[in-house]
Amino acid sequence: MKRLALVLVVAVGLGGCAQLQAVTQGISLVTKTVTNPVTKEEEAKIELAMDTALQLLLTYRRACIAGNADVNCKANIRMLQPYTRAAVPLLRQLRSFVDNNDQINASVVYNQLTSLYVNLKTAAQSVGINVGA
Amino acid sequence: MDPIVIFGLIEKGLTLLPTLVSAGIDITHRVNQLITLSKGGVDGTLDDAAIAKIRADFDADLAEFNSDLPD
Repeated sequence: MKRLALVLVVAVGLGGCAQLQAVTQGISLVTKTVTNPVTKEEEAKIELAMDTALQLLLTYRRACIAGNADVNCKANIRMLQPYTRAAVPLLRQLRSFVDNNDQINASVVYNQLTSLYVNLKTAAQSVGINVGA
Repeated sequence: MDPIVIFGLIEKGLTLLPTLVSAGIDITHRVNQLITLSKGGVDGTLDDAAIAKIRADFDADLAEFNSDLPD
């Protein structure tokens, strides 16, 4: 059990770093504009990248509920949830705008998601979870 | 979609997989999704069903993470 907890903590600390960094880079490398539209493929790419990053946080959460994670895990997860919860309506909006080829609003929401993940990274660091520089 | 972007995605996905394995996560589904997205993006066969599946999976995972923790 201790080994599992250690693996998870390390995975979230190091893997989470790589994953969230990849997500942030994947989103923020290109600021979307009307002349640089968000395609369905790009939207799927973003969602898959975010979901892949979320797998580690989910594993951390499951271990936390099972009592196999660090003592601060519940507080850490609750600290991050406002950001992942804020992503839900943004994703719904992004999907709708992309489906309807409303590129003006799609670009706006896409860039809001970028900011959200940067803020998530900062919040995670503030509670001791290293998610990248 | 630009093949270079697709290859970048594959590279990122492959880089992340060992970390997922270390955490005990079953990567089979993730690998299949990466293959579907990359192959479909390159040859133009990425259909709405594949995109809907990615969206649905993400929704389910977000819902689980966002649910209240037990006290």
